[in-house]
Amino acid sequence: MILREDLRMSVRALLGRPAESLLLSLGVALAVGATAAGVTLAGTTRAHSEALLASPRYREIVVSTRAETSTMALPARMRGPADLVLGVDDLERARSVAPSIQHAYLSNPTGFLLGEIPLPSGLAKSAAGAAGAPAASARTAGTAGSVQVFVMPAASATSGPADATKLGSVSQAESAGAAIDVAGTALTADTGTKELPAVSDDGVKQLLSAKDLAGFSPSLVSAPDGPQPQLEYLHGMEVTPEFFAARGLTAAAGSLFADADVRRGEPVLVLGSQLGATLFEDGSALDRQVLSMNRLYRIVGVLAPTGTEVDEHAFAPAPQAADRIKEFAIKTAGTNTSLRFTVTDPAHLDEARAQLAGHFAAGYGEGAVSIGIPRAEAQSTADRYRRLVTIILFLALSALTIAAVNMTNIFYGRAVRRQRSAGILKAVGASMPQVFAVFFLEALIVGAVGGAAGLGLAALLSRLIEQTIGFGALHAGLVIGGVAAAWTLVAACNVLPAAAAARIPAADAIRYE
Amino acid sequence: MRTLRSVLGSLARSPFKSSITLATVGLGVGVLIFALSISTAFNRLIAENLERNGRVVMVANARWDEAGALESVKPFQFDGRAPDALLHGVVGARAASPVTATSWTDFDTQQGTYQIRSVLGVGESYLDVMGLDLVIGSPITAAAMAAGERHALLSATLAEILFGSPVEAVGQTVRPPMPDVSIQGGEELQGAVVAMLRDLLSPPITVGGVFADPSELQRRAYGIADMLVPATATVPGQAVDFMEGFLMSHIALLVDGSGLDTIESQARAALAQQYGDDVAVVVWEGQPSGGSADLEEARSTVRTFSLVVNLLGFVLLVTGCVGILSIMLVEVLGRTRQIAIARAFGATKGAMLREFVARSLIMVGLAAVIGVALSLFLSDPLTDLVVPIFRGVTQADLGGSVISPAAMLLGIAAALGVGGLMGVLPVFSALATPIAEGIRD
Repeated sequence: MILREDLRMSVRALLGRPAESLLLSLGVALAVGATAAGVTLAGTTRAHSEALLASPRYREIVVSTRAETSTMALPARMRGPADLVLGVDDLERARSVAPSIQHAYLSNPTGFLLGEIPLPSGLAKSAAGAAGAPAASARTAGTAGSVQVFVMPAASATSGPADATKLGSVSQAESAGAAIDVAGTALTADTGTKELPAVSDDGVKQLLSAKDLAGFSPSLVSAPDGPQPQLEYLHGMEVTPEFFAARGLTAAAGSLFADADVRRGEPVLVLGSQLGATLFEDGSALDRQVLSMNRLYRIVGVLAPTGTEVDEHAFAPAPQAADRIKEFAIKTAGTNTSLRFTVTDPAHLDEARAQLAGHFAAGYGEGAVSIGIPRAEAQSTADRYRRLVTIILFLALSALTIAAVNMTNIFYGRAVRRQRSAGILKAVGASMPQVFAVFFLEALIVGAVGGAAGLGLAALLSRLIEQTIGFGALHAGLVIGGVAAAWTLVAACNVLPAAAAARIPAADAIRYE
Repeated sequence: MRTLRSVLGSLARSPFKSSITLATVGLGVGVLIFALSISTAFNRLIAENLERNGRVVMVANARWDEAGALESVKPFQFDGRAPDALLHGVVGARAASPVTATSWTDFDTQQGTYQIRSVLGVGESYLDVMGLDLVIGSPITAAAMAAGERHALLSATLAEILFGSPVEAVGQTVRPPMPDVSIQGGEELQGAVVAMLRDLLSPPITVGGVFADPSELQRRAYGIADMLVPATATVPGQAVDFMEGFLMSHIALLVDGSGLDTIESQARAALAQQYGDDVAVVVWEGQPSGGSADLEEARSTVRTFSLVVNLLGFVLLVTGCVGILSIMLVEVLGRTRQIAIARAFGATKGAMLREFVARSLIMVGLAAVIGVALSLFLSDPLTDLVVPIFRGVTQADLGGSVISPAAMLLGIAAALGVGGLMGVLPVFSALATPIAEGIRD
């Protein structure tokens, strides 16, 4: 009852000066709202940055014969030998030079075009005419009698099928690459409408002897019987087995492939969880086969879900450079252009990079490889977020401090103005705590009204911030924490004015006038 | 002057509280001025870099796939008439150029082999579309485009890296490396094959000119390449005709004065008229590959940052001005009897109100002076702190001090408005008090 009377008196005092009370509440609302948004943002930013940087890929060092163009600060860099191909041997040698390296693996983006590939008409005609059998795929053309050298642009292997849709890229047969029939037979391009130049040279014919080409099988591989995949194209990666350990990936069904699979060039696939569940209509992919680029791949494993893009990817053993040379007769520059190393602790990245740089410079020459740390880009993003948060938090806390100081001033003024009321209350028997409660409740009410209104501002600010950086949306716990902290500060700043009012002796207060 | 002296006297009576109040209001004014200035500077930067001559859009013969990636249409539907169709069909279209990806990344020069960040095949109007200035040499001409001439334009920085300077670069040649042929049978014979194929597959490209570097913001936003060659030179000469659809499948278009939606509908209509209603057309702002993240990020960051910082600056100003309210409350409280006596001797409410408005405005004015000084003093360190938030922007891009006179005026006006209002509110209750009661107080 007493509390209710105190509350009634406090409310009456506030309503007695509505404009002033409203402005006080507004000041508190703005300060509390900004602070709540700032605290929320600081919390979510920290969590986001930590999650971002905790990703295994941000403990990687990438050693590549080519720099990642999107991260090149300058328009050009001198590069090493064009024929430099990095392989498994390089991985093992480099692993030993940097003690902090935990995993070393190959990982290159690729894609799997599923199904039987229609051959360019010229290849089919030529191969069939020469060997009396269907020609091999467009990338493995060649017979002892009629030799075809299929030349692709130098960088095509690095961009890979995954880039096929970018900038209207066309398939390799359509692009700048040309197909040349060195036996002198005019070869038609994929469209079959225009003739490309034919090159004829006896020396070349001697070069590509039947012996060199033994092992080529021009026969087409047919798609396996039974259920057919529901997709035409799989995004994926060619990796060595340690990739899975480095990324913390495990098989939910079947198994992962092993080093022996890589050495033998086994056509096996491991699918991400989502892909494994959707590739075939019945949801079962394990031990089934799919045909891609004239190779039959057996699905040996399905990964456990990760909640990332890995779930939709297919993984095949990274081919050895030697395999490709043998298979294609033409080695496309760019085969196995990059090696990846993860370190035990991100703090060792720079040290490990320096050690790797020294190792590769000694082995292949200065500047032969580009050594990048993807974490640097993520760290830069995290730093940008941190700066934004610092600015917002600084402004918000400044507003809160200013509001608290001003509220203290104003409540002092109100206490002075209402000395007589306080004196009368004490004269009629009110205790010091009861007088304190009347004045303190007034501040709490202002704080509560302002705090509630501040939530609206916090929501608005959080939405704006989320639009900018993609996160920072209101988080209930953080908002409540922010509002509570702000309210506590405002309340604390009003303890002194309320105490000053409560300490006034009744006689002095009444004598005041 | 009398009021000013009186205000200074009032402030001097409680110097700590007065200085705290003036400092907080000043901080609010200073932050608001800085926020307005920096947001104006960033908006100006965006306008100068990305919207200087109009809006640059990409028009492609493609579709967006389910993942939001660009999916080419096969067979291609556009041909060499597409740029003209867009120029005639889109209101305000000023220039159009095909843009073609190349697979070239490495180039041999006399100094060695370089990996070049990006190379695009373009038409004769590409420099106009992107607002790039030719520093030296000759541009890509319509004749070069028609002939598939191996004529390259380099960015100034690329020219410096490859040849020492733009002047020295003109007339030099670069050569995409020959695909690496590895054939068993002896080095001599392999050398013969390479030599035979080299000129056919990888003829040299002559540097015809050098263009001024675009800003980093512009380069990233629109995917401007470091080396430009005629689109028709990116494919074997004999293949140009049958690959015309591919070469023309992406067109960069400069349009003055229209929004993206309007441009898209007009582009669709123009191309449908040319190629039929089933033509696949997508229009976007950003890089030729379909990516628009950099452009969107730049605009969105500037827009939202401006809004958030200005809003917080205003919050700071308002909370600071509550201090003015506090000072004026005490002032009015202490002068209740004086006000009542003045009114008893004939002073009107309006006259009293004017006096207190003047007092509060003087106080806010003093705080505003502090705010202006703070904004000028803190401008450089704050700009240092803020600039890295925007990818691709450096402090040099913003020029000298970002504090603008307009922002100062706006900040001072906001302070006078808010502070003046807060300062005058306590007077209303004093004026509402009956004169007799006021004299008795």
